[in-house]
Amino acid sequence: MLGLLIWLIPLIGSGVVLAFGSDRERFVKIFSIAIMLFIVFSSIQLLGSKGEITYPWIPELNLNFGILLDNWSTLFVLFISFVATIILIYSFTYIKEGIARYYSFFLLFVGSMIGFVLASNLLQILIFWELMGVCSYFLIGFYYRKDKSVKAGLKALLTTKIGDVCLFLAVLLFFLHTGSLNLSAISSIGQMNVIGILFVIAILTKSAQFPFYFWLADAMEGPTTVSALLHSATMVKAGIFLLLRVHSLLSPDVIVLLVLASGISMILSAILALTSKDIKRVLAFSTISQLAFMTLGIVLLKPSVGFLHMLNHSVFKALLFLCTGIFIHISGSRSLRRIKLAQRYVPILFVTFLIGILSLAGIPPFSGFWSKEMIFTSSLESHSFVIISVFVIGSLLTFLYSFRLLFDVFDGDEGKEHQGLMEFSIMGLAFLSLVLGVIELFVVKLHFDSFLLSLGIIGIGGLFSYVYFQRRVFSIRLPDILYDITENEFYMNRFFLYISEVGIGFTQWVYNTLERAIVGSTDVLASGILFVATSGYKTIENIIVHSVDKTISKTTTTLSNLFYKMLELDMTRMEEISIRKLSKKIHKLFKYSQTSYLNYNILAVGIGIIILSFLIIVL
Amino acid sequence: MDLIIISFLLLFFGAASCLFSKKKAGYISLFVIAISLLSLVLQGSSGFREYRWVEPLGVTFGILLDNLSFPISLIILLISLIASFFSMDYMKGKKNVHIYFANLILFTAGMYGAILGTNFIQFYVFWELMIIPAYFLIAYWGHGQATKIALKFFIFMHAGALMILFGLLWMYSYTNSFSFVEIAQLHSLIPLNVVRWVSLLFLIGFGVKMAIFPLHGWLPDAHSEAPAPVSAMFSGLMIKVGAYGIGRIVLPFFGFYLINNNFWMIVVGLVTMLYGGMMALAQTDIKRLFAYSSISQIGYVFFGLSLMNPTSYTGAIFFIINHAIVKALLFFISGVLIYSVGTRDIRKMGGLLKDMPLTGFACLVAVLALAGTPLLNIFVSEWIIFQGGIQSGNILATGMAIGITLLTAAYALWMIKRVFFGNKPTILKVRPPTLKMKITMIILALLIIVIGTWPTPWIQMLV
Repeated sequence: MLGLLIWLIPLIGSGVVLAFGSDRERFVKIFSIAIMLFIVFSSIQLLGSKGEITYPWIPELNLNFGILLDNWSTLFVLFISFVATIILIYSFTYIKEGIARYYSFFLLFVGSMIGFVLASNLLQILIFWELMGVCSYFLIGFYYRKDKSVKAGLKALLTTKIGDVCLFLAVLLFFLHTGSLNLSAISSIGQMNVIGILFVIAILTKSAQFPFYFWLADAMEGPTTVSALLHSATMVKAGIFLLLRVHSLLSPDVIVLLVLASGISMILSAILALTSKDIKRVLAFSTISQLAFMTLGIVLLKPSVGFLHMLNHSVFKALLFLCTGIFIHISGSRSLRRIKLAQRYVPILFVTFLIGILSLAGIPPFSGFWSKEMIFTSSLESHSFVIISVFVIGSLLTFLYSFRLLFDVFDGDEGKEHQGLMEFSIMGLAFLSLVLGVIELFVVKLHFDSFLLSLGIIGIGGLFSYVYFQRRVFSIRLPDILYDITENEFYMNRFFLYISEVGIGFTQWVYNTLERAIVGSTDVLASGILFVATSGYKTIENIIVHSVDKTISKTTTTLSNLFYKMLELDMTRMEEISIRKLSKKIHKLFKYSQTSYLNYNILAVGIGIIILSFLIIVL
Repeated sequence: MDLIIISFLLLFFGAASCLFSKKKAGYISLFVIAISLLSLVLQGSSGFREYRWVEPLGVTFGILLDNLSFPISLIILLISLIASFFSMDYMKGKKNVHIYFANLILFTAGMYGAILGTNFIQFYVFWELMIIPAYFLIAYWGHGQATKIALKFFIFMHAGALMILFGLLWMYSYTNSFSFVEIAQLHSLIPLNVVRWVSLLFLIGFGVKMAIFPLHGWLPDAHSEAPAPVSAMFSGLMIKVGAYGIGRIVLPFFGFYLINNNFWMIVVGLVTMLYGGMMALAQTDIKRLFAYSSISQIGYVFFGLSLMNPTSYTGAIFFIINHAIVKALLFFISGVLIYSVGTRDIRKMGGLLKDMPLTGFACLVAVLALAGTPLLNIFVSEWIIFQGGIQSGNILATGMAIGITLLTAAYALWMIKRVFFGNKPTILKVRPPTLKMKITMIILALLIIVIGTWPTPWIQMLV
């Protein structure tokens, strides 16, 4: 039950906040922190429990919500809830407008992320996968008056929607082949190329890897807290988590594809992290590079090593982002040229940021070191030169860009401390990261040869970054063309922009030609019928009605004239004559009844009386 | 049953009394439609009754309620009710509003009667009856070249109706019956080569009403130039009556033939959804955008019906309901925008979220539902349609249909971006929407969320 409530309550809470939260800042904050605390406690409660529970959703179609509790899901939920709670506390001072909107989508996101991680069937995975994308869209476009951030949100949503579509189809095909949506059916399906490729595309879009990496860098237009939570600590990890769930389904061919994409994205984004001039973009590219690192760890080595790195990364990357939020707050800019802090003015900030950087770079005993150590151990076990070199290059580049960032930022004389809750939360995250390092110290077994490898990377990387980034002993002048390429972030963004512009242009062209023709033809049809009707009416009126009229009237007049001439004249004469004669005859007839003789009169009266009395008797 | 027939007659009585009551016409229409809705709900989801109508010809007036007609008539009355509620504020100050309401009731009654019909005669009579008030609603209260557009609408609708009339008479020559129940048993009497042509006639007839791709020319003008509540009824309800016709007549009677010949139907469905989506992307007029979006969405319904699979059929009917709610909300929002901002041109709008937060969020909910976001209503119906598509073996077509949802998301969210986000143009004056408009939007947006998260009762109604 707790497994259901832990994501249901934030989802409901988000609706409550959106509906009743406007202009009630205090209520919103207390309400959302209460929900987050509930999540933290229940995730601690869930830790270590195992099992699967199903709740019917649409029984007619056999669609269910299900909770799958195992080590991966419970552990990841624990991390999500801790990181999200700390970021929520940070947001209290960081977010100053649109309170209801922000916290509502924050809770919606947390609920969907936890629902995604705990899902036991692919439908639920799909549902929360897409919901996370929607939250991401809203939160990136949180400053909705800024055209840039709205565009970035739209771009993020549409790019990840490509993955959603692929996931949708993959889930349906999975259902077709197994007759079930349950994750446990994965073992029965075997390795399917089509489903595998669809899953891989979904994973690549969500975790922002090549060729879809561009949306994540643009997503940095959102508030920094959002970047910390969604675009480094949790949401982009959904792709990795899905990979963990379905990796047994991928055939070797599909894995080759995935490895190629991840390898390319690891190297490209590391280069971009080294060259970018926007601090949030540096972190974004570093996130992509780390996500690719995890992906490679999962598919080339063991899933557990990738998983551990994912957990560590979510803490220290959130920490780095939150520190960055304060940097931006202090210097008012995201450009690395403008952020020039002095460590003596901001000691707490410096220490916490340093902890994050050391973890990212993989320096013992900080948390990132241990997961990298495990990755090295198992890559050495694979005895493959390619695999080893991929991970070595990856971590060397990671080392370089993390120290470049550190040296670039703390290279000035700005700074003011006392950021209240924001400082408190970065301290919390730094503490969490340290604790993780200590725990892993006891958990992870150290192997001598891989430790040596790590030390080698640290030595080379440390030397180079000290000489190049800190002391600036020499500088490498890149050819202009390379400079252009990195400036444009390998043109992928432009490429997709170009495609979308062409697409919109094409639709407008079709609209102006074909569609106007179709609608126009209906117009022509309508006006044609109207024309035919009206002009036809006129013609009919002219021709038929008039002619009928005329003929009728003509014939009647002629006929009547004829009759008149023929009959009427004679008739009158005849009538005159006959009436005269008739009246004379009547006159003669009745002349005798009006004589003045009394006898006649009395006789007539007597007859009358007899007739009357006869009538009375009879009737 | 008797309750339904009384409430149905009450609709006509209400329409007549609207003519004599200039002030209270809106309330009359609200009242009679609400009574109809109530009696439909009280009646429940199944029933059959026939009344004598034109006895010498053996024509009956019947009421047929089953898992197809009940949900659709429910949504017709619901959206009509909301539309007349919305019209009370939206049409305020327009001329001859009482006649508008009379037409609106008659329009509802036409659709309702066609859906309830148990026989072809009744179906055809009400099918024609719904065109006439719709014609007046566009011609008299519409915008732009309303008369010409209304005439065009009427011609197209009537041509489609004649196709249906021709088809049904052709069928009658073999079956000697107009009753749906009897034809269901007698349709084997029709020779196969006649079935081919009759089914084509019906498909074209219903396709005109649904605005399937090459026959959609009347829709963009009619939907965009009618007053907003009427557009909501057109797009949400009227074009769905065509889909109902396919579900009621074409599939049961000709399904045995079409199931092996549905390739072109699937292609037409796919082209319709793709074409409508593309055209929606190119629009700058918000109502035209929604009109093309309707074409695209009706493509999904047609696609679901043409797969000839029980699952996707359920999905398509569920899609009709969900799309009716979503598209009605979107057209109401376009009405709110016309009322508040005074323009339909997307290029003149921007940054309206600040001044119209409720409208903005309602629009976001509707648009996200349109784009197939989970836990909003359309997702469930899309899932069911596509599940049926996969099960019926049309994997490529289903994959393409799923891919086209990307296009839906693109045009819908781009519209949101241009209307509600960004900076507000300084010349734009915003008049706050009235309470009735707000209530309308809240009800429909909540309905989208409720059905999306808890679709079980609706699906029970359909299965």
